[in-house]
Amino acid sequence: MNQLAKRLDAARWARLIGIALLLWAAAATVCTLGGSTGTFGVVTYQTAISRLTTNVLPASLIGASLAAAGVAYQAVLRNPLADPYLLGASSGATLASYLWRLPFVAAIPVVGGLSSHAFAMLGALSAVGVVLVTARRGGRIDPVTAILAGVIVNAICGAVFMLLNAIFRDAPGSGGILTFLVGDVQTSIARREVWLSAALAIGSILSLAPFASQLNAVRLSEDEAASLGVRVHRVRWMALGLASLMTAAAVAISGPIGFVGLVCPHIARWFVGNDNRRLLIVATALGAAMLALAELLERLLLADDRLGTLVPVGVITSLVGAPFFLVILLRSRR
Amino acid sequence: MRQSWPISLLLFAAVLCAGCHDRRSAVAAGGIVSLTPAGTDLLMAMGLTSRIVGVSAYEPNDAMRRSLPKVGDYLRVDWERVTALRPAYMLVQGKRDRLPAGMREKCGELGITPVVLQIDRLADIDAAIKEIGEFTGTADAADAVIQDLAKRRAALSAGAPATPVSAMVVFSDSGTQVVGGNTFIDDALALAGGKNVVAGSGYVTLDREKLASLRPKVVFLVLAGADADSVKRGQAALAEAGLTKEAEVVPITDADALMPATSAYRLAEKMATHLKAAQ
Repeated sequence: MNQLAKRLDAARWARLIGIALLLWAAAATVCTLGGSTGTFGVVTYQTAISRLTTNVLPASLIGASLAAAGVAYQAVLRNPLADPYLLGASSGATLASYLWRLPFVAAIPVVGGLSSHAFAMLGALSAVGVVLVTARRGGRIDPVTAILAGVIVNAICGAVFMLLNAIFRDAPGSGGILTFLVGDVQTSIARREVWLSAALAIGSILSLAPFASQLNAVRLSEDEAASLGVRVHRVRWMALGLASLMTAAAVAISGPIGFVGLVCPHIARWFVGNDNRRLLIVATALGAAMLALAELLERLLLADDRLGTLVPVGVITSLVGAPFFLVILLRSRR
Repeated sequence: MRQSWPISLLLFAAVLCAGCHDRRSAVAAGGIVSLTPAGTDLLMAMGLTSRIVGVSAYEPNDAMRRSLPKVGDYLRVDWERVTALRPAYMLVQGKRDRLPAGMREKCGELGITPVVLQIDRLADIDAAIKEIGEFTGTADAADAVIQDLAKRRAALSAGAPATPVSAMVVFSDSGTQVVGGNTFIDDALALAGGKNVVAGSGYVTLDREKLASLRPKVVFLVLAGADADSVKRGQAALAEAGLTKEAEVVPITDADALMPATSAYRLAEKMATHLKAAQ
């Protein structure tokens, strides 16, 4: 009887994972059909593979990482407004990417030879590291202190970024700092760097999955969670660490892309409720699908010569995500 | 048999060299994708307009923007379009050692030669033209443009006021963003007979009090591609800062006025006209 129950449970999980994968696969397939050359329809195998590897998979990876990180952050920080950038990952990565371009940094031995991707990832991890160390008290991490430390680190990174930009201002007419402030699926990233981000993100998501059930307990009070046998502080450290790794992996190849990490967990809650085990699977798939579709929209907009310019995917996600989030907010208040 | 192997080796080397030469010739006739508006301007000046097959998403030249496919920018290259266009070269502007690794990798896969133009000063424009000429097998056209620019420099120097006229270049309609030293615009101003009153280096932001204290004779309000309203806002901001009491404000709104390319000489020539009058 017990074995039958286990089998049924396994079948249920397999079905959920299957549906999530199907959802992403459907979105990915649609995304390979359209391109910036203005065509939408059946394409050759080569074109499909090219679009898949250059655009769709990196976009999916970024979306999945941000959404999964959003689930972890919202659960650990017990804050429905928590997003992957709350602990300073994006501002750290943005500052580090900007530093990479500066002549005095390029002249530093060894450090100057690192790629922009390495700089961004190190920047993201350093910022989150500072936040977590600041929020640590007696080996425990306090969610409220973590959020406040995140606000401070974000503010400092932002201020240093603006200071450097005031000193080393780009020539007028160039993209300048705007290219750092709005994220996009960058296509000038080396393949090995995308692979590195992918390995880091997928590894972190898979490592987070076994903790998903304990994330449910973390949302309770510490005493309640402890009574269920959950080591709250260990779970918090693990979840925040893994979520930060995912965010760093994503932000290193895209820059700050807003709203995906915030909105996807909320949309997923409509379908599967508050169980973080289900939420992680569905939100990850939703994030991957959403960003792949947003990236497709970016390519299609470029195809339309009336617009004639690139609309970064970060703009699209914010334009679509913000009103969507407002609707969720209003509905939840009723 | 033993004695014939050096001859065989030489023959093999000769065939290889011939092959390489053929490949170079084939590439030299190839198209060019320009991810930098300055690069597009230089190509046009070199008479290579017909070889441009794609431009940046931020191309200010109307005709080029309308007629050619836009292939993205420095960070976000639309490789699908680039692949379809089959260019032999890709012009990028930036620091040579800071070309994104993925761009170099993808260019290598597609057989495209990336040409990185680093233009910070006016003299860098000549170097960029020479580099384009060397890469694209159009050294003669490059030399001709360089000589033409040298003539324009000589003409500007000859016609410049004996005593440099104090001047300032403002490039925002808020009136607070100005051009400092060590920039191609500062070089253009010096060539035109002006003396930049801004002490800082690069592109700097000043407040109104500081602006008023500089007391230039001429203020060039360079708002590339701006409309009349924007120019009015800029003029009003400069008036509020008290700059219009003693200085003549000269608006310049050419779309390419702030581009580090041959257009910098047009800017210098326009500046020279006003500086002479203000002398």
